[in-house]
Amino acid sequence: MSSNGSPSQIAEGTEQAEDRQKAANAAPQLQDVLRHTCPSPAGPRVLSTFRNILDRDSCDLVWVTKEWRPQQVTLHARTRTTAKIRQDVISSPKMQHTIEQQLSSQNEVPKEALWRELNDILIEMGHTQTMPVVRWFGYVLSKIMRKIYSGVFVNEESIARLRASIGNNPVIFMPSHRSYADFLLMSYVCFHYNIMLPVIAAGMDFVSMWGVGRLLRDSGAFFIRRSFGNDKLYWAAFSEYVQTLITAGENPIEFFVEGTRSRTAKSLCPKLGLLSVALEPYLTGQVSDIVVVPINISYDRTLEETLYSYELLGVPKPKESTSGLFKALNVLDEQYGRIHIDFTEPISVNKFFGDLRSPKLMRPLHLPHQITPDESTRIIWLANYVVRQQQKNAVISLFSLAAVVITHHVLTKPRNQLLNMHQLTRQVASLKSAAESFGALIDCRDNLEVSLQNALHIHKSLIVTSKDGQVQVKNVAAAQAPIDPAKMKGHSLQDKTLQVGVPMVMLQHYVNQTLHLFICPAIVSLSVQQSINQGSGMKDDVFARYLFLRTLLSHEFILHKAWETMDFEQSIQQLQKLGVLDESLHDSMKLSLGSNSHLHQILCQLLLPFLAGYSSACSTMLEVPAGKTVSLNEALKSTQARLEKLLLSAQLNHHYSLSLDLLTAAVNSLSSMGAVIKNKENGKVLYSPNSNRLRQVTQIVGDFLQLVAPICRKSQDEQARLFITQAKARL
Amino acid sequence: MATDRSSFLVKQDVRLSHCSMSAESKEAPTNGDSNSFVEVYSAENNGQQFRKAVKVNLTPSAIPKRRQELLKWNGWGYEDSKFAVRKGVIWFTGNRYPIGELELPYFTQWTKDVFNVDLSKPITPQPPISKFPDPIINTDFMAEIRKCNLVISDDGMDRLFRAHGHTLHDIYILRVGMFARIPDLVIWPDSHDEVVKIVELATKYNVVIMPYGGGTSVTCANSCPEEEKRMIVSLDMSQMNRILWLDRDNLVACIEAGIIGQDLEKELKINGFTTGHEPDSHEFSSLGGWVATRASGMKKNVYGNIEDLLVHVRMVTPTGVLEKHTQGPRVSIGPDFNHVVLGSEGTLGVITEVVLKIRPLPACKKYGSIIFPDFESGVNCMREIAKKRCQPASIRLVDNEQFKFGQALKAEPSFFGHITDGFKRFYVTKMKGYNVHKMVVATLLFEGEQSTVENQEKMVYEIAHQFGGMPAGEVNGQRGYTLTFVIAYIRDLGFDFNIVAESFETSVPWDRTLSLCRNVKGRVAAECKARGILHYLMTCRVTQTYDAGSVVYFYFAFNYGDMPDPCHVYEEIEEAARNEILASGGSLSHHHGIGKVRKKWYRQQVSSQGVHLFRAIKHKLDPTNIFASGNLDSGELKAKL
Ligand SMILES: Cc1cc2nc3c(=O)[nH]c(=O)nc-3n(C[C@H](O)[C@H](O)[C@H](O)COP(=O)(O)OP(=O)(O)OC[C@H]3O[C@@H](n4cnc5c(N)ncnc54)[C@H](O)[C@@H]3O)c2cc1C
Repeated sequence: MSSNGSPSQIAEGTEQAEDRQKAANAAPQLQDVLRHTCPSPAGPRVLSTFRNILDRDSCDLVWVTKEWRPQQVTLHARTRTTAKIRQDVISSPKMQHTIEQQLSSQNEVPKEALWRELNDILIEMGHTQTMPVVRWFGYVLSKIMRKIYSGVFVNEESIARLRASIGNNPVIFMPSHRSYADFLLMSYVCFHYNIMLPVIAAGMDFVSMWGVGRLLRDSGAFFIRRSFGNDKLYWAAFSEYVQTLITAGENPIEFFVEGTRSRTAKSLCPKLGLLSVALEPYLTGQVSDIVVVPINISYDRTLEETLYSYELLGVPKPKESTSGLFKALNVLDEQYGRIHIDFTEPISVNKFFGDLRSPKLMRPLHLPHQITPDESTRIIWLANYVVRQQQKNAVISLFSLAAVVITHHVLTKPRNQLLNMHQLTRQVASLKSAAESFGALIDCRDNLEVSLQNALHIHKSLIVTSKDGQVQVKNVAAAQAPIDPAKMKGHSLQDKTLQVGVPMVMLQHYVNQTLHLFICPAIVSLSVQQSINQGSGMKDDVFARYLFLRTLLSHEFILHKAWETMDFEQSIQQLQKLGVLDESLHDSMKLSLGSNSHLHQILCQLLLPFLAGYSSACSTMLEVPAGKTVSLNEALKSTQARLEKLLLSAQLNHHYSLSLDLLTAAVNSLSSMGAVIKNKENGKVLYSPNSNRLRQVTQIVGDFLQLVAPICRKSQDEQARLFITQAKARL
Repeated sequence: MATDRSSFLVKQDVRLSHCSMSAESKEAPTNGDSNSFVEVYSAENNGQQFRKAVKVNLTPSAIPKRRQELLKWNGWGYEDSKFAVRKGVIWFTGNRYPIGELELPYFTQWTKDVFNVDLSKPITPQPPISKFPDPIINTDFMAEIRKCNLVISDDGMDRLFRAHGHTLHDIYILRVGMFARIPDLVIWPDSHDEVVKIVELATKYNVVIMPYGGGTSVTCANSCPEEEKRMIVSLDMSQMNRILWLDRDNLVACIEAGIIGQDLEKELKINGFTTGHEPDSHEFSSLGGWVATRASGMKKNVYGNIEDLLVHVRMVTPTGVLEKHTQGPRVSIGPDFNHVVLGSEGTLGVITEVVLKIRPLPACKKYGSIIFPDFESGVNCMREIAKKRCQPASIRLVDNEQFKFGQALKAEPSFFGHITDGFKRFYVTKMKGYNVHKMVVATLLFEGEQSTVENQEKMVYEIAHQFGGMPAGEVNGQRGYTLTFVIAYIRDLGFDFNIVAESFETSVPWDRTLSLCRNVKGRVAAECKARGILHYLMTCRVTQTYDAGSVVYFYFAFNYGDMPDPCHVYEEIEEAARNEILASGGSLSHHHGIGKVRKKWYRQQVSSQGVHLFRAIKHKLDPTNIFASGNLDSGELKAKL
């Protein structure tokens, strides 16, 4: 460890430190609020409360044509037609003000043109939920789902809880977002349980797909442009549209707080824009409360798994098109296992916020609400809390645990030492109990061996077990049609890199499904080890290191600042229970490693791809000459190139470090730590190193990386031999 | 001024020694003609001549000194008037009110439907109290007071009667327990000068004074601060009930502050006038109370609120009398100190005399009603009417719950009474598309010249039509208003059957009126749910319209089952509702005032500078906190000063 000050000091610029202080100050108070509002469910979650909704008494036809008498969201709700909603938006004081007072005078555009434009925007945006389409669509979906899924399991206890908490206030559903299927599933489940169907905020990408846009609209989606920067008219129209949906309270509204599908299967850091807009009617006293329902949707196997793998490595993604969709229909030949859906404890925003609306001067409703610093702190908190709730209520498949074990094996064992089914089962079993002690609900219905075999079977395109019980990874990326280098988003990776990279990234997709459980314990474990190596082991020294890593990875995982102490203490306790840390301590201020070195190793190893990627990003940025800047894309490209070299020379063996998502997070993280400086020049974002600080950070990251660096080095070629090649690549 | 006038006044009180009063001892007119006015010229205000009509006599107050002889000691209104249960059916006793002596079968059913009450199992309140807290007596003060030939009493019941108003908490305590602190002595001053004298002595001997008007406060304004160790004197203003003079040219009258609404209107009516100030409590509340609480009358659209009616006021404070030495109809002489008196809630001094505007009695008075398909269209219609400024004297919109409740209060089925069956139901609900469980009604009262009323009616009904409203007749309108006075009696019936009830109000900008109603109802529903309250009524009405907003009045009542402290539960829920009101853009109060129940929000409403200003005023006018009722902000005052 270098002597450049404490890692935690280096982790944060002063600004961040202040923020953290603020968050910490707010923490006890909010914690208090949370305890009152969100009592944890009575007992531990169990699989037995999940019911397969595809497994129902009535046949699909009877089911989709059932009488539609949904539970109302609010008593005062009136059903409005699409035209009426549009009319309400147009005649709202806010739109009137925006167009009549603001835009027309500022831009000297004739009002009529603006009104026409508004109308067009609203037509482009508007949903047109119609029951016949929903029913018909529901029918088709039933058929498809029966074919590819072995069950859609919904936590019925959570449905009962949801039912009990709706009726008075507007409701927002916030599901996790891993797949396009999320859109359809939510409405499908609501239809099944006679809950008013959600109106769903969707990205514009769908609209261009012939037929699909219409279909989604009719099922209740409304469309928002991906970026509309300074378009005031669009912004006003969009926020008024969302807010009229909230205040009218006819349907739950649904959006993905992560902003987009997570390609990595890890939760994305929450986006605040739509959430803030949706909360405005509450903040301005137009509604007395809003009920936010975080929802977890867990897939055994993600439909888009291969696609995501390529995408993360920078291989271009085909544009959403209907023919692409039909091509994707060959997914129908595959099995995708189970889906688990859990509606988590509904959150009363009013209680969560501790009613900070309390009397302030009310501005007229046509003026945009300016979010106060206090409000903004809570919104960030809420957003993070929602994502954490989604994570906590995941159902983890055994395959994810297997993926952890297999990856660990591939990275650490010599090539002649193959993993056999017996070892895998044993290691999954011990990882399972570790995961359970971190609060996970694992999908294991039969005895472990059978369940594991079933789980592996679902993923037989990625993992195969030979007759003699050897477990191997398939090379799914073989025979890739040559990729036009110009179309690569990142560095033009060599074919041989992709050969190993694609399956490894795919495997990591499933490892990632478990990381929310392991991330804090992993960071703590690594910090303890480093601290001990440096001759300390004192709790506060460990905490300082932990803080550094946590800050470093805060764009990668949901590690909200306000929870850092809580997470730390909890992890220590859990690790002690598991024997990763020594429990029989005499000095409560000193930590030491326990007997469970295997789990310790697995945990630390989980951080490898991240530390390696971040470390390379640091090096790349360090090479930018003083006074020069690079774009994000340039930074990503050269980091990938650097990483590929390391992989080829066997200095690194985890291909997930190549992930563009990971490297983007690295750059963002360096920027918020003040190690690189973000500049905006004519609308372009450019980065330059902040040399001193960057050097310090690079050093510390490097020190951590040393600790988890390959225990057994293998070249990429060697690694490739661990794979069985497969003829057909799927994309 | 006072001496000027008092020379024309004949005081005819039979002076009572303390504790010896009876109903018969009410002052009776001594000079035969109770309504004679003497034309006088008095030299006032730098010798300017004013022609005055000075009243030399007055009919006795409807309220005796020993109030408990006419009024309930532990409930609302006249002893002989109440809701009672006879053979399982609710009826109203006495014949003071239009529904007197009538059986109310629909209402009986309604109480079962809404509150799940079992009318066969009433709870009996404690019997009249005989043991009272020992009075704290300041002997020096007492010695001086006795010399002054004042009407005083230290009778326990007299003291208890003035220890409260009509807040839920007050009445609940009277039924089940005892206040920790009640006044130690009651004094009935007879004139401004007597008040000056009493305040002087109280200041000299450090005795607390709490002015008491009609005792209808709903903010715990009359409660004695428990921690007060000094002697507390309740100043019962009821004997200062004369109209001192009446000026027909300028249409003003100078009136003593103790007069209660019904007496004031009776007197003025004899002379062909009215103030037009008609709060729902006007049978019992007093002029001084109105000024002290910034009261608002139902007919403010035509006549104005108390602050519009008030031309001049005198307030006796420990450091002197605060008044303006001018009677200009409007003046520009710095901040208007009338507004320091208005809303002072007994914390700064005693209001003794008020010059009020009066109006000739209206030539035409007409009721009306309009039904709307739902609350929203009703509110939108009221907004439009306010925009056009064609509001009649009163316009009130009740929500569906209150609409149904109003129907239930009928003795006989009538227009709406038949609503559950028959032709009219068909007409209103089917043909016009009204849903009995959504529709609402607005009641109207027009007052003014015949032609004005006709014009107004036409405009109002036209606007109503645009909002889906349909005229529903005069009778229904009139019923709405006459029932007003009866409604206050219902709470006592509720008490007998496990139900606590209270009302609260707010004023709110127009664009937030609907969302406020919705939010507050939603919040109360949530609070009830959280407490397992299953049977409750939460209803609202829009009772006033202004250019910039409306007034919303909520009733909340619930069956508390076997909760040990229902009153506290109520207070918690009202607090949540008030927070919701404030967060929804409503004010802390439109007319009830702050008292003690809303103190915690005072600073938020008026800013810290506002509180400083109030404290500075308090400190100058009442440096030793003689007026220690603790209303508004004064609780913190002592500590801070
Ligand atoms: C059924 C019912 C209906 C009501 N309807 C209305 C309504 O329509 N509009 C409305 O505005 N209010 C209404 N109120 C509230 C109440 O009637 C008013 O606040 C009224 O103004 C109080 O007058 P009071 O004479 O009864 O005052 P009290 O209750 O005796 O006293 C109230 C406060 O004023 C002070 N005070 C009284 N007299 C004087 C004085 N001479 N000098 C200095 N301070 C004094 C007291 O010290 C106390 O702090 C209603 C109350 C009830 C119970």
